[in-house]
Amino acid sequence: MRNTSVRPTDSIEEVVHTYGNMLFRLCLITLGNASDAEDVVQETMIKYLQKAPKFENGEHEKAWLIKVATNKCRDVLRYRKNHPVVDVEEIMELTKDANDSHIIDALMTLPE
Amino acid sequence: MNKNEFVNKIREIEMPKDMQRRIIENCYMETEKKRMNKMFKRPMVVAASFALCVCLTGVTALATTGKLEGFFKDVKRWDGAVVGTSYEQATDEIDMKVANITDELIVEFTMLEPDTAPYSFLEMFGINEYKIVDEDGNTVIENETIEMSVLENNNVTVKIPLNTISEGKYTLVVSKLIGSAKAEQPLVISGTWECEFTF
Repeated sequence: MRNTSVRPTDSIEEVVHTYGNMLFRLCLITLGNASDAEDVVQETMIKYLQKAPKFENGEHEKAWLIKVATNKCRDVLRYRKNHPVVDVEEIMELTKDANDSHIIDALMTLPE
Repeated sequence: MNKNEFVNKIREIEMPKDMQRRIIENCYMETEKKRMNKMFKRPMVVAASFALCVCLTGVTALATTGKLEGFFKDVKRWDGAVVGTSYEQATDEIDMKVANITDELIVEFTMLEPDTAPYSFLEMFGINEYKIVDEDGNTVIENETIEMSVLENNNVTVKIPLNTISEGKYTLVVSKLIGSAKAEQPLVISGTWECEFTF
């Protein structure tokens, strides 16, 4: 029977220092950019804090983290496939006409 | 590039330190948020539960560790958007003492938990809000900031000018400190630190 428990928040620093680089590498190669990789690593750590089972040993813990990170990377890739985005640079290319470039500049200054 | 070279290159990739810090901070905030959300799920006992929990948290922390623990908190804009982070209740995690008095008050701060966040990644440290009170309780100096100094061996020395006060017994009261790491947004650290001195 799986023994689940919420871990003390202090434990997250040790986990980030121990496994952070490995997870970041994995996510960066899978997703192709550092921002998404950071998001996935963070979500993995939050899940570790809130839902991780009791581990038999270090290898079990590592395997669990890799599995969670891999699944989250798959979610991101699936989301990207269903919600394609356009790079801002590509839009800028389309407005090479001097008459239109000010529109993009104005759009960029709007608050989020 | 052959396979081994490729694998070795990948192994050299490391998570930047500021990214590590952000992840740790966000994990703390997320945990805190989840705890607060759970408390508000039952509207009938919200007020009583909240008051009880605040008291219990303080009492439990004091009972088990003998001290209150600090925590990260969102800094929110007027419209609710999160614009930064602060660190609260750090009184028992930093020690303050008067190191020397000349025409300035030289104060030394010591990080008592240098291996935990946020102290593990701070590089510079200063005072963000302080006041000096005389024996009668009157505030004689009240100022916002003292420039940050470099943190060395978990200690930092800060100088507070005293050129506007006369001789006598005073108490330095610090309510906010500020720390920063290179190229990062400064972090305000709240707590209560007091020490007496004679000028």
